[in-house]
Amino acid sequence: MRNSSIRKYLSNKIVWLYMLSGGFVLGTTLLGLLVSSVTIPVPAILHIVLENTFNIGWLDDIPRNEEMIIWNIRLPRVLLALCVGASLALAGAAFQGLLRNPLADPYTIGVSSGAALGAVFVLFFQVTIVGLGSFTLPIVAIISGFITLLVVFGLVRLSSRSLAVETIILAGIIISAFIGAITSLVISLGDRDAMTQILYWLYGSVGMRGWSHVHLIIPFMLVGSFIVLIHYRELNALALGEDAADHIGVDVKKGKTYILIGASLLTGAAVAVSGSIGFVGLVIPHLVRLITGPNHRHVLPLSMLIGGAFLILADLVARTIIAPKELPIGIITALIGAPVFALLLIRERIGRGGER
Amino acid sequence: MMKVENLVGGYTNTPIIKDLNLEIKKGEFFALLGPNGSGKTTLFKLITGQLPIQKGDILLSGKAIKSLSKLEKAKKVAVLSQEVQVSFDYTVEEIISLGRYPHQKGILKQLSKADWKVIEEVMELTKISQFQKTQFRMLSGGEKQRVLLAKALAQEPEILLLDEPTNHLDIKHTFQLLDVLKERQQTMDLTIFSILHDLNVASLYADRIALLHKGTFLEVGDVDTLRKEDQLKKVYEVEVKAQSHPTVPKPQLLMTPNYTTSSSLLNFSDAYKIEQNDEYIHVQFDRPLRTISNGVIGEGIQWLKHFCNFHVDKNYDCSDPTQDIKMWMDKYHIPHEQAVGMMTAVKLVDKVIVTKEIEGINMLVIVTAGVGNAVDISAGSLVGATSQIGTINTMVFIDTHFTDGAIVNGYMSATEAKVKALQDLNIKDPASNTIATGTSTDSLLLALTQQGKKTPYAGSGTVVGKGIGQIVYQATQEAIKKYLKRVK
Amino acid sequence: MINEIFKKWGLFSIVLLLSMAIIVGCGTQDQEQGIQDEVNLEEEEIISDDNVELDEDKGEQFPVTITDDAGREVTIESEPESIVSIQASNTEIAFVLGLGDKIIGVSDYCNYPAEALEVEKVGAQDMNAELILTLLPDVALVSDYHFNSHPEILEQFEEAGINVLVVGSATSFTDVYGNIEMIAAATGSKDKAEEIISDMQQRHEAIKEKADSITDKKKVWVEVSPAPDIFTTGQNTFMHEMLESIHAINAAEDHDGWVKLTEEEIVQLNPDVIITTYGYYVENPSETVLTRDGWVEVPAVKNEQVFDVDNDTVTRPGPRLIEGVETLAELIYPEIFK
Repeated sequence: MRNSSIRKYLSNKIVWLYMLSGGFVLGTTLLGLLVSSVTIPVPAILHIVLENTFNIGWLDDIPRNEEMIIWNIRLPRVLLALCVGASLALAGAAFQGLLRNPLADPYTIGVSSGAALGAVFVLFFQVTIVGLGSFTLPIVAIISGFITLLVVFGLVRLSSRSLAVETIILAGIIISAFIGAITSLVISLGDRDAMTQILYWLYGSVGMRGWSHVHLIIPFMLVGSFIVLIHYRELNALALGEDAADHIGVDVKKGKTYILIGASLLTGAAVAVSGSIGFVGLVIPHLVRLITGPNHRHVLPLSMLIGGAFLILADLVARTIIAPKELPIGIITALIGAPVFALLLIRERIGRGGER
Repeated sequence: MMKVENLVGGYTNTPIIKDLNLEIKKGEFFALLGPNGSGKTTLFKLITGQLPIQKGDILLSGKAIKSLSKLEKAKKVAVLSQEVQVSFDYTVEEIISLGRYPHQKGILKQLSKADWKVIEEVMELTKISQFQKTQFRMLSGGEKQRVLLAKALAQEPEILLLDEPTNHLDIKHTFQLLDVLKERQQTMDLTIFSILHDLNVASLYADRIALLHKGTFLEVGDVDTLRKEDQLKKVYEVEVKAQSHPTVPKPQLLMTPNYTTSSSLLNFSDAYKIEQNDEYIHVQFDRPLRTISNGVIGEGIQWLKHFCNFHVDKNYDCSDPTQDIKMWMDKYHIPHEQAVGMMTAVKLVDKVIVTKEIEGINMLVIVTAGVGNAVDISAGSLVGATSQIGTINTMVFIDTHFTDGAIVNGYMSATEAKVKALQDLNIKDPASNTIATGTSTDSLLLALTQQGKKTPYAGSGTVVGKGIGQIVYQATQEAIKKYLKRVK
Repeated sequence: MINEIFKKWGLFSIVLLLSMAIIVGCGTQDQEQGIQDEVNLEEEEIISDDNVELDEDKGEQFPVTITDDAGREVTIESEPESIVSIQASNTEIAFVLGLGDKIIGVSDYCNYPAEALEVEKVGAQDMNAELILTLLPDVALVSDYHFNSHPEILEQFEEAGINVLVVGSATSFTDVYGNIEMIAAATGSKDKAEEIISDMQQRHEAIKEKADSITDKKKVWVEVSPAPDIFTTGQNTFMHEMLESIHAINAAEDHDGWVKLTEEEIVQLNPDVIITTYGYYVENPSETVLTRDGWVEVPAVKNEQVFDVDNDTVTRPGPRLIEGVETLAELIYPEIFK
């Protein structure tokens, strides 16, 4: 009796958390649409969005350029931030759970370095694959991210039959260090123009990407999220260690492989469309875990929501704080993320000290 | 339930388990014993599928374990291993709910009402309900292990594999945990297959045991198999002595360390001091003596240092003599857990102390005697206790080394000598008017220094037995004479 | 993991340093030629065709179709009322063409003429697309960097009715004339353009003529960034072309584009004159060069022939390049050009 009432309370709390997070996403999305260096009246913005989505507008005479700004520049930008933030945060939560390491993030196992290298190559050689056009860069980035995952897998398999966590982390570090060196090599070989482009890309940004990048990331995000989300129980079970997970019937190797693939899809796609945006994947899962506890059933979806909303906010700050100039979004995520992370660490320690 | 047939397996090329056969019956607690490296954990890993079976088969209810999927296996077999590290701050409830993993159905794989019922039940059983929302890592080692047991039980397994489940636990938590398991075994007919390190714990809890040695079974059988000291010595390479548990009919094993105490030989005549007043006689030795006695406290065969005889009034209310003796000893700062305590109404000044050396063996005897309650043990009628002064308390200390059998021999010899003394003084049982064999409340203790050559016999056919007889006879006779003189 | 974080921050600081270097060197776009040149040549022909038509049409310049430097055909229906220029050189060209009052948006780096500083800033490499769409100019002059990096945004501009003109990076006087002509064609100021170009050409010719009398060629060492990372201008740079035209020897003529040389190599070259272009962010550049250890025997240092010129007049492909040539001529051969 007592237990069931507690559980009811808890599930209520969880429901509230989901509603709050959903509201947060909606709120930041609207804020992202409303606030910018260019002021457009709110009714006009709402009209444009509703007109284009549900075909219900009530205003005439919306200037074409305002419609373009909202529908083709601002909205895809906000949505891309949402998708990238959600992908990175989910991938971060998955990697942390999978590697049983709170310091893991989407960049730990080197997929992002691989994706970045692919992008850098495209920028360096100015190649355009026929039929892909401006999609060349993100597609190549995703493919090279995947090749990196395969290389990491191969290395892990050669050195440890059971896909040991430590080996995965080590292989990831080795591969990213190697790829990082190649990337630096390419940068130093490039001419100034290419270098500018590469560096701008490496900064990470969700601006000036347009709908095409949103369309590009969405399928990867959906597939990756699906794979990761349906494995929440395996992630929980892995918290006890792989042997214990095996004992309760988890196919550890299969589960790990799926989660790695899912999280790598998310990471690769996010890096491909936006460059390497740090801290989202590290901080957001921790934040969510502090609120909900470590159960991945809630950590995973809530990380997506909060991560998406967080990146929208970060982008908003990046493009308004010294408008009309923009700051690289990675600077904002790090500037907000690092102190928040430090605070969380301190708070957690104090909290634990109090209970002990 | 589980059958292991000609099993061969282990790491890579060299099999650790070599041609093993075993059958575990439903509802039994089977303990797997053996030193480190004997292959216990390997056998478990072969069962759980973490290591490949090279040859042979493991059958679970007649089905080859290889043919079961991981989920099917998890529904039948649960594992509780040594303490595991849990990453992140999972609550107890969340950890236990992981045990429902193999039973969860549907696309969302949520916990159903039935799942929650099982979870609550196992928490109740393992007495961790109050920790339901507590973070796992806040718990103590024993509580943690109970949570993990609850998780394993939540799997509702047919067989539970325990890999040294009490390894990090203190005695309290060890017994708590095993009691829970035992209860589950008895009430739910759970089959338990456990690796245990502690042979005595295994003896107390297991129904059957197997002794694994270098990948093969040396012994399989009920716990009394543990009495085979030679086998244990072969496996563990430690001097092992099997004894019986004092209250439970199970063997308990005592290990003898390999080091020798380099204490110098005791000089018997300097080794004790005797303190005496009107209230007590206290004989104190520097070292514990191997002692057999029927004293009020310190009975049985033990190692003891203090030997006391307390004077009580002849109208002493003997409703709780044990407590009284302990109280008196505390009063005089004598550690009662290392002492034999006797009682007598005889005036302690009438005690007789005799020392003697017989065939190079030093002996000391102290006797207090009263024969008011003299009894012929062979006579028919039993007379109720009278308030006469009449107890013969005998303490015999010998500087020699007896086996346990010799100690009993010596005890007999001393008793026979006492009987002879009574007979020669013509002490009669007043009820039957026949020669008495003793009094109704005689106490005797025999204490050995256990140094020198080991003597296996101390009966009347041996020099030492004769020596005991002579010295006890002499002292008893003198003491009775003193008593008779006083009561006249 | 921690390494990873360090690595990221390390990368970040490198990025920060490099981006400073980029800001410093901005205005000088690419030194690539080849393909770009060909495009320009073709386009000059088209423009000259236009000119022929123009003469026939007597002032009726619009509608006009221009093939821009991205190879796209841009048709401008009527004379533009408003212009956004996201490239410092193009802004200078537009102002000199008398389009100053039509310019409603410039890049963050546009610093000449002074009026350009008053105009709204619309970003640089990363344009502020929203702002440009709000300004809704008739013509947007963008660089090929924008075309390569943000093609989608340019499409948005066009869809909103902005004529987007990609003005390629210029590496020679001919390129610059081409750019001036293209911007003029798009804005209906061809007469002014001809005037400017012929003025530039005449002045350049005059210098070349005078220079013909030079027999004792001086070797000139150019520094575009200060020690320790001394970059110079090799072949295929304005500086090289300018030095050639005043009959000076570019000390770095064996190299191509912007290159970094070590101090040892530079001293080995023994230049007669040293020109620095970083006076706008380094205090007293000549002094620092003169006091360098081990440079005492270099003729330029011995004779104190170290001068600083305005970077924008020698690297920015705009109308002020001719001023750059004249300045250089006067500094290197004062006896002839003063």
